[in-house]
Amino acid sequence: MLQNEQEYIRILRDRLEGTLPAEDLEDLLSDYREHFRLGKADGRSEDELFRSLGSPDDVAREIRATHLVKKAEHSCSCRNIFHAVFATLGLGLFNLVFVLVPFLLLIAMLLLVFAIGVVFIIVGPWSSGITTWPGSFTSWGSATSNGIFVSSPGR
Amino acid sequence: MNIQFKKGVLEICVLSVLAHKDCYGYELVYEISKQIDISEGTIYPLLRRLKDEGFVTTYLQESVEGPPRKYYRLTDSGRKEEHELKEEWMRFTTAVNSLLVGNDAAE
Repeated sequence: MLQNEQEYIRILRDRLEGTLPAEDLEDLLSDYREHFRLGKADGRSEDELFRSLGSPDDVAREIRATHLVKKAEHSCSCRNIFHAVFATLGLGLFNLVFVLVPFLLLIAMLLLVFAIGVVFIIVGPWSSGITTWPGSFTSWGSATSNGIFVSSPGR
Repeated sequence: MNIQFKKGVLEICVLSVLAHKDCYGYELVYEISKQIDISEGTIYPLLRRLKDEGFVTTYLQESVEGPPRKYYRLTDSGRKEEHELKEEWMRFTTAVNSLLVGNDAAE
């Protein structure tokens, strides 16, 4: 099937509308229109130009990713960062490794630190209560009321 | 050629062509695709990014045939970036080449 300029522009517009500000989108589309115009003046067919431009879906994905990363840099909300990470992932398997893995490691580390914090909050007061409990005995020693361990039994 | 390779070098290529002369988009695509087989459509997003980063500026210039064309020109910081990337590229390729040659000799 022969592909043409209109189809290329339509796909780009379709994929990027709502992501890019309208002004940027028109500016971008005008770049591609100029490309087709000069290419045709050069004696190439629309179909040939379409093919050598490559998939408009790929171009749209790349622009989306760049735009969302930029947005995330400007306002570091969680939602923006997730958007940016996943838009970048869409660019390929290579990025899957180099973006997703560090991202998940970071998330895992945050969760771990959070979990450790929670454990300390829950266990902390209870366990310190036990070790300083006046007269509480363990097999290897006892805690005195002022919190100093002495060996037992005997002395 | 590996697509990730090409994506990485495309930026150096664009900056380098612009270091020689101001170009309009189609001309830039032509200059580069003459040498490397690329998806030509990816140059425009790259140019937008370079513009956002302040490495290039654009201006419209009338042409004899048809409407004005959008030209891209390197800024001072773009010139500096081009220089640094080129140096880095030279060092890197020299190192990789010597590794590759070394491995061939060892086989």
